[in-house]
Amino acid sequence: MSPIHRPEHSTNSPLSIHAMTVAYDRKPVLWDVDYDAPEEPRLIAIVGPNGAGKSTLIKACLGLVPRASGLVAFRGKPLDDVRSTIGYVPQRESVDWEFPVTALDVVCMGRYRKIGWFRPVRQKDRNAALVCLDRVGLADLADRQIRQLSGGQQQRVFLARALAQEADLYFMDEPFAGVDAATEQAILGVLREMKNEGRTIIVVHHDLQTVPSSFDEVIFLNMRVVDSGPVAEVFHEDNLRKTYGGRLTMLAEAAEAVARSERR
Amino acid sequence: MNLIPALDLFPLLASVLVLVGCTMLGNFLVLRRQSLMGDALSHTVLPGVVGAYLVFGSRDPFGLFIGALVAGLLTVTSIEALRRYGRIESNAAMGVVFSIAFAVGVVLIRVGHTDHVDLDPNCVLYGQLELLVWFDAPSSFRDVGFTDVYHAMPSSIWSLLIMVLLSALFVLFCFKELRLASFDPGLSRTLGFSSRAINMVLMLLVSVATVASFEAVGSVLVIAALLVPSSTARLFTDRLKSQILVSILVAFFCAVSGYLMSTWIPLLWQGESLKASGTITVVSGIVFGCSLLFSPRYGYWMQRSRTRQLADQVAIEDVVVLLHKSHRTAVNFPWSTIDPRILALATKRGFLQSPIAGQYFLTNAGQNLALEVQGRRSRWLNYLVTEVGLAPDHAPGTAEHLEHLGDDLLQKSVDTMDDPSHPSGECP
Repeated sequence: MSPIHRPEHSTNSPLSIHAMTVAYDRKPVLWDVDYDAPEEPRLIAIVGPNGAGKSTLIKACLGLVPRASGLVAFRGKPLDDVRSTIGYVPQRESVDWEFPVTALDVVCMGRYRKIGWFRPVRQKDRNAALVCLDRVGLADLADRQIRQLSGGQQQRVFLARALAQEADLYFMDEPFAGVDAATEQAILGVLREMKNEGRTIIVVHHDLQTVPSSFDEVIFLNMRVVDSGPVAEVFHEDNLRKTYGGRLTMLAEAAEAVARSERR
Repeated sequence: MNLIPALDLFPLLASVLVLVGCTMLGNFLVLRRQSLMGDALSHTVLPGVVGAYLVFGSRDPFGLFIGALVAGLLTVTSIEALRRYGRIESNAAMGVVFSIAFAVGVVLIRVGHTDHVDLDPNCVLYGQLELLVWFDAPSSFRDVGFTDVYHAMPSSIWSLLIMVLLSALFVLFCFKELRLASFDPGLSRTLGFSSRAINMVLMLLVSVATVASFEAVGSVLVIAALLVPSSTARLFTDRLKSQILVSILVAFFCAVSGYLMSTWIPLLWQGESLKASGTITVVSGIVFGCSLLFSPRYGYWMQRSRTRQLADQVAIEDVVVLLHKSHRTAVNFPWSTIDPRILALATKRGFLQSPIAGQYFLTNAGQNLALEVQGRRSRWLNYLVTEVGLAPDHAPGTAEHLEHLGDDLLQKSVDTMDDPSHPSGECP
């Protein structure tokens, strides 16, 4: 397929989103999203209140939820041309951890595209997966059934699976959810290594406090892109208020209305 | 008395094929939490068969097979559509679709009823495994709608063989795709393995399996064949590959032993013949029940006995420590307050000896155990006070609970510290 021609977007950007609108059941969740990730490798956080459409943004880019309109290009190419260079880490709760697979089996899944349809997983793939497990510090637990892992360990297994994908661009849906501070640092360390290897990583993130110390860039999202850019430039009070404030004021008004009606 | 008459070979083979073929696919239904799909598909066979009869106007088995298959596919697609666009939870969608489809089938029997059609609801439930061999009795073959036993028999064996072969090939060659699409459909799609396509093929094969099996064994055993051996295997293993292998073994065993039971029991009691589909399902149920109780991994019995062993160990350690202290302080030991079973167990394990009935003394091993437990307790106490920051007067109680833990990790963190000569190291 020929590159998508859009003069206003760079064909070198690992991810450029043009006028993307996503609707569930005719109710728009994301309005007219326009975004270009920087060409250089970066750690990018998507922040915004609950219901702002953070996960939806990722899923729409990956074609997991249908787009109502708009275009998504990866270095100027459509998703189907570049699947092997795109990695995805879904939310931990999205899978069944009772499933009869070991940690190593899960990491091997990252290599399925390289293995191809109908071919079995070979020893070579298992070895490569084991290296990835080792990078997140879980080589000892390779043969554990995944239910027997703690939440933080499960999250690291997902990260190892992402490493096994050897992609250029990663989408991670809340990789820090439900992990302790030590695990968070360990995961962040791996993410930085990945960035230094030349990969761009886009992370749905909840903890605003750690954004400046952990990420290079930030996308403020609340059903639309409020602002985006380097943390040093855009991570300030004004944007935070614009992103989170609207809802807070509305909630405050609603609470006041309830209080008034109770007083009567 | 010939216990396995040669005439039984075909129905026996048919039961094995049904159970093994359905089980291979059923593993994935169970794992994907779509167990009800087997139920749904086995019910929609009825409107499919009746519809095909009304359309083709004949009881040609191939036509009926196609009718049932089309009905199965319509079921799967309409369930998927209901779930996605009707915003109904998937179990509800399945229930809605198959119960209505079954009812349509029941109505169609009446509407299309003529003198030469005779569809017996009994056969829908139980199938007619036994009739596979009744070459000489075509007159009794009125039930499910085939004119001629002689033609029907080989065709159902053949369709079962093809069904098993297709299922085996699918599971063998798409093993990795099935595993990925069942575990993480989102990643499966982003990697380019369409989880919807894999799901559709799986459902198509489940349809084929139910239709092919239904004719021989009826709707009840089809559901059991899809779900029971795979649920049984789930109790034995944590690996997908071994789960599938175990489930196939269980299926084979249930088919053979269940079928033989149906022929033996009437011989033993001179009773009337039994429906093999019934006995096979009962045997599957018994095997599942026994596994639930006695499986070495997740069986109730093992889990209980593991807990019990731990509780015994804790009780023995407590007695030994208590006895060790009472020797020092020469208090009259309150034997009556201690469970005699624990005393007997501790004696058996060589921690206690009882030269006079009702009087126990610590052996050398018992002394050592008591010292070891007390050492562990004081290390925990020190750890809790200095590292965890518990108040010194609260720590002893917690330490008493923790001293029995042989947990390596915690033990490591405790043992790395110097052995304390903590003032409150001796517990009250």
